[in-house]
Amino acid sequence: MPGRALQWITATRLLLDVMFYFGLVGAAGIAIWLALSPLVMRDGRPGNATLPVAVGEGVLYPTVDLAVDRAAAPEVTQAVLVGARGELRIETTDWSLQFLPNLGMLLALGIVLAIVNLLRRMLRTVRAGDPFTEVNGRRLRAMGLLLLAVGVIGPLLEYLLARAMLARIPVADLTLVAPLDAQTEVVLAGLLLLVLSAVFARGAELERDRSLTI
Amino acid sequence: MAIVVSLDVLLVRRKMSLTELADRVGITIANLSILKTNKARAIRFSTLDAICRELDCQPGDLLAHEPD
Repeated sequence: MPGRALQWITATRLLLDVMFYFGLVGAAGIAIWLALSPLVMRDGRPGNATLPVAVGEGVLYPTVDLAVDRAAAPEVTQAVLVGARGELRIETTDWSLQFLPNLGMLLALGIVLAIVNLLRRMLRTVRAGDPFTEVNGRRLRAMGLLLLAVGVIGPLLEYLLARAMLARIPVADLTLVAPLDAQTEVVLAGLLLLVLSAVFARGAELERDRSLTI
Repeated sequence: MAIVVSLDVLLVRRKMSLTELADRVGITIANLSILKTNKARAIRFSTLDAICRELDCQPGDLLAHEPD
């Protein structure tokens, strides 16, 4: 393997290792917090929670009709605020309102860690000089399926969670809704990996044929 | 696989070792062992040609089809 390629692999491996172990520490921290939070919150001490929200009415394209000063701008006949997204941060003594977003975060972090770990294992086979194996094809497929889960199930869960939480948070100033954000890029990346895994599996089969051709 | 390689029989008949055949044909003993133990997925015509030449046989003497 050329020296430059080896350097690149070593650097990527280092980066993935750092991401993986930092992620593990973070996930462990969240898990410990989740496990201990019922005890901590029992005395009614307030804590923070954050949830994604959109301003307006509607799910995919929340809109708000804004009042226009017709005297200042007579040529503007209508103004609509579309898709204004943000995060709602609340301080609450309700334990469940803090627990649920963190549970979602732990789940998302778990999926990211699984993908990073699969990448680490694949990179190890590249470094060993034998990446075209059926195992790596299965790893690519697993990564594709995980990304599809993140892209399809993730936004749905986030929407349902935010909706359930918003129903318990009466905000008078604005009309807030839970947004449903389609993660097209993640879904496409997942599909791309699934196609690549099929190509990889075929490549691994050809490689096996080649190695067993006398 | 339904194709059976009779290399071991031919080697016994010719009183030749696997190492000697490997040297004469110019392929590794490991690859020749794969062929001998019926683990090979394919055989090149050039390899077949060299084995038949060294063992003084026909491809049909080396390969046979036995339905599963």
